[in-house]
Amino acid sequence: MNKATDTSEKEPSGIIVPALQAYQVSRQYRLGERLLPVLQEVSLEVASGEFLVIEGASGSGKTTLLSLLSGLDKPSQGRILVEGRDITDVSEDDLAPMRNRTFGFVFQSFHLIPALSALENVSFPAELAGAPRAFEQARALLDRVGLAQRAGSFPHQLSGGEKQRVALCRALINRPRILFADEPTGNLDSENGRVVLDLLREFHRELGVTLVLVTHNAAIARIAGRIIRLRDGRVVGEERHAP
Amino acid sequence: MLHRRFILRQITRSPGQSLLLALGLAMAVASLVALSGLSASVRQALDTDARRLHGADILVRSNAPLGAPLVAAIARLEESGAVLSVAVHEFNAMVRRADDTVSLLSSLKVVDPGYPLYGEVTLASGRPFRDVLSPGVVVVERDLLERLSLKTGDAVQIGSATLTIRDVVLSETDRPLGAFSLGPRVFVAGADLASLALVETGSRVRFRRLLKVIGDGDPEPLAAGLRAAAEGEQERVETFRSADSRVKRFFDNFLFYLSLAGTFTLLLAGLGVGSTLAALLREKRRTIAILKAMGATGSFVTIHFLAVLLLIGLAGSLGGLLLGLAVQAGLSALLQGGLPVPLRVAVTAEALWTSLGLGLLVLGFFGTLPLLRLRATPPAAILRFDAPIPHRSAGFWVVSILALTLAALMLRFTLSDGQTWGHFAFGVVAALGGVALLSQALLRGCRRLRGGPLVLRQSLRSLGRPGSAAATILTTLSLAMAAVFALHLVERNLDATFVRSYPTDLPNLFFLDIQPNQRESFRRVVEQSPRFYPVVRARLLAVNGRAVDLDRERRRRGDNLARNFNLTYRDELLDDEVLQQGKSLFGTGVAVPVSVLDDTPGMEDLHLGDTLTFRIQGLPIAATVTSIRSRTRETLQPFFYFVLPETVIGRAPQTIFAALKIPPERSTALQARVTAALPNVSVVDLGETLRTFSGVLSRLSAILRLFGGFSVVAGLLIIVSAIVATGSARIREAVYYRILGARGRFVLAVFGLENLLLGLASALSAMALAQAGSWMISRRLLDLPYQVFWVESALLVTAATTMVVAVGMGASLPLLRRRPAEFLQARAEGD
Repeated sequence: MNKATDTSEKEPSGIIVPALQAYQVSRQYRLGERLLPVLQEVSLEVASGEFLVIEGASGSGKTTLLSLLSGLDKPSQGRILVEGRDITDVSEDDLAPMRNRTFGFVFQSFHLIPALSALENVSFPAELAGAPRAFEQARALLDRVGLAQRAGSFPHQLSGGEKQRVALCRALINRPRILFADEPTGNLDSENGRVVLDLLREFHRELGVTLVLVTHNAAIARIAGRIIRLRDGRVVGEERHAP
Repeated sequence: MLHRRFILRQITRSPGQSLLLALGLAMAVASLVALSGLSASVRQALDTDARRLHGADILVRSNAPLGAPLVAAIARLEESGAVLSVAVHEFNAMVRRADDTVSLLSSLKVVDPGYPLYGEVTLASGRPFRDVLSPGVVVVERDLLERLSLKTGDAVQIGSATLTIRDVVLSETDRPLGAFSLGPRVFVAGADLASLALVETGSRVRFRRLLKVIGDGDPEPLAAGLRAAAEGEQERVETFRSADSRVKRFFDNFLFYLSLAGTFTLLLAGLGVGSTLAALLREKRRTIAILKAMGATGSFVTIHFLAVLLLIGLAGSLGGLLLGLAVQAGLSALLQGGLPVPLRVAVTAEALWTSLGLGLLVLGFFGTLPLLRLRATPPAAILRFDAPIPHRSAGFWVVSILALTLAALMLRFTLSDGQTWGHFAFGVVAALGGVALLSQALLRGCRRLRGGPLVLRQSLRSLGRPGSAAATILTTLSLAMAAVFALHLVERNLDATFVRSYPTDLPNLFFLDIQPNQRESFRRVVEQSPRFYPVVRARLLAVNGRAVDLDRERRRRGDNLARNFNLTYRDELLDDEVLQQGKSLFGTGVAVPVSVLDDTPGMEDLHLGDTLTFRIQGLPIAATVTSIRSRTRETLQPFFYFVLPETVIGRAPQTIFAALKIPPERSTALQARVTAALPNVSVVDLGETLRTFSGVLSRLSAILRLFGGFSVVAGLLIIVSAIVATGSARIREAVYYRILGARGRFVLAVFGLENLLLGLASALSAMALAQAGSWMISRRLLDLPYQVFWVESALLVTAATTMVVAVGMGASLPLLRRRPAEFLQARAEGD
């Protein structure tokens, strides 16, 4: 895979545009008669190529924040911008190309399509994008993560670690500029967790992809260049260090 | 202790599935209530009125004058004071206006004084029948007055006698299903029989003696004594209990079809219940895992979810009961008049309990297995959404076998005919197995397919995904559609056989009982040279020396070898005949050859060279099969099962019939001319007869459609429940597609194509099954010629496929409006 030299988005004026921006974002859920605030007035920016970890305990709102940043959910208030484009009110169908080419997703529960083999799962986003050599690209990625032999296997025939590596390949096949990972090691043993984290870091460095990773694990958080801590739906701290 | 609130919550939290479940049961129960009410009414009417329906304690029947020994035996009984007897002769004859301008084929009943022995013949004047019918007068049905423009007091010509119409008959105690007789009833006094001069050798007269046992004596020993005096099989002696009747046979066939429709509905509703229940209980898996994690036992789970099922079942059954009662009211209105027995459709408590019981049994049968599997849900499912469902235990298989036995017994209950039940059960098992194998093969094929557009591949993969419910859905849908299709095809074949419009290029007037010496006169009167078909009455005694088993033959639902056959003689094939076997009709060098029609009942295995032994006028004749013919058109053209050379039966007592195509405007005048010149000749106006047929059959058809409608509704419920059952899998896939960047139209295209493939595969396999099943029912059970109805079949397949797609898309569209995060959150929370 070729190394991406510059993934920064620049406006014509030459100003560098952040990969992600959230302005005063809140999210509430309706539970019967009452509203449950999950996220309250969160603002943040993620620079292009940055490795950001959102850390917090269960129920702190970190997955909700990731869903809002990635357009999987709509905020109750506030705005979300992706590479300078406001996606707050964009329809599901208009978000589709962005999810397909700009974003990549890795989830704790893998969310592989059960009907498709590992190879087909990986090639699927590329096929949706109309890539002419989707299967070759998918095969190369699987080879890269050590799963060339498992290409024909279906998700139910794969171990947790293998599933997550397939999910990672799927997330990367269209060479997205932003990768979202929601507790990617949450369902894995420590060995497989380590392998997946290593791969994430490797791809981040190699492709220059912006990586937003959600975790409750402080040890994992330390590998990122920047950590945002959430508690009860609010940002309670931010930390930057050299990864 | 039962947690009532918990049970109620399980129902209210899954309102869609609960409603579908209740509706499925309601269809089954409504159908059963309506069917059992109708069957009970018919059976009760037939049992209670058996004596009245047959008009006697003992019936003696023959197609020839009773032999001397039997007449003497009856006389001895009468002399001893054990019985009273009356003679009855029934035959069809032309009744003419005295001015010979118009005539009408009528059903004559010539009765001795004392008739009826039981029941009543009701007259318009209100006078007693016995006081009215006397020598020189007739009592006729109103239809005859209307069609011949006559009134009471006018004279009519019957055969050689001129008789006066004295009264109008309104109802008749022992009349066979009136609509199926060839003409209106005419009662003639026994004393006038000779003056009619219509009863000649070879005439089709039914000779009957009705006997009434004096006092409370058992008729059976007396009947046994008379049987001993009867001549062979020609003279039949029966009691009112054992006697078969056309009414009984008619209702037997009618109820058989309805019970078949009821059984299909039961089966369909059961499949719907099973499919919905599986989906409902799958929804509850997480709840059960939580209960178990908190220490609930398997029994706790079973009892509480059994209570859930029972509550839904009870609601469905009660709904079905009300619907069934409403249908009963409709049936009563449909059955008002037009049928030979007075039916009062009333629901008995027994019928209600039975229907409710069967409804709950359906629930029990189809609910036990999913419930048992659910009971084994591991507490680990609380932690893992995709925790595997445990393997099936030995107990599961024991319960499965018990449940299957129970299902077989349920079918046995609804289909009272043991042989039919056997065929039906075998058919269902074979169909189930066949469709299941086909489904598996199709889905395996789907998994192996490579290449093609992404949408098509995704659709195929969605169908063939490992652990998918597609095989079950395909099997269920196929069976459901097959049942609905088969009912429709059987009904269409019934309709085509009995109610279809009369073909325009075929004869419409049939002239019966022409005597051999009347051929020339007949030609002159009709001013044509028609083809004459000689008819020699005979019975078949044996095939290849083995005597025909009369009892077994009479039990056959359709035509049988025990009846009187009409033989004919000629030397060539008819226009619509071809030889299947043999080089010519009679070959060469065979002394007594016979040509046999290939669809002669019970002779499917007949070969050239086989021997058939007939009895003609008491004489046995052994004939060798020299050819087997086939008809090229299944129409109302005259046909004969057995054709012999003139040299063999040309001198036997015979009558002749001729068939003519006469324009309707000339028909009445010609009938009048023929019957004036040849009084013994009867004319059957088939167009008129068919119009009468269709009147009654359209009424019966409405009842059949009503019961068929239950099956259709039950089938629709299955389609809906099957689609709803896969709802969660579809939501998941839709969300994955959206996350990976698919637009809404891609998701819709995948789902649409998936539904299309599912619907098309189900509909096609269902149509194949339905054609096979309805062919079996039509040919083997109802003895009807079979038509495939290609265009209608294609329309049915298209309609069913469209319905699956429409229902599937209807269920899928709301999924597209959901945001991916909602689903992911729900998954994370384990909902």
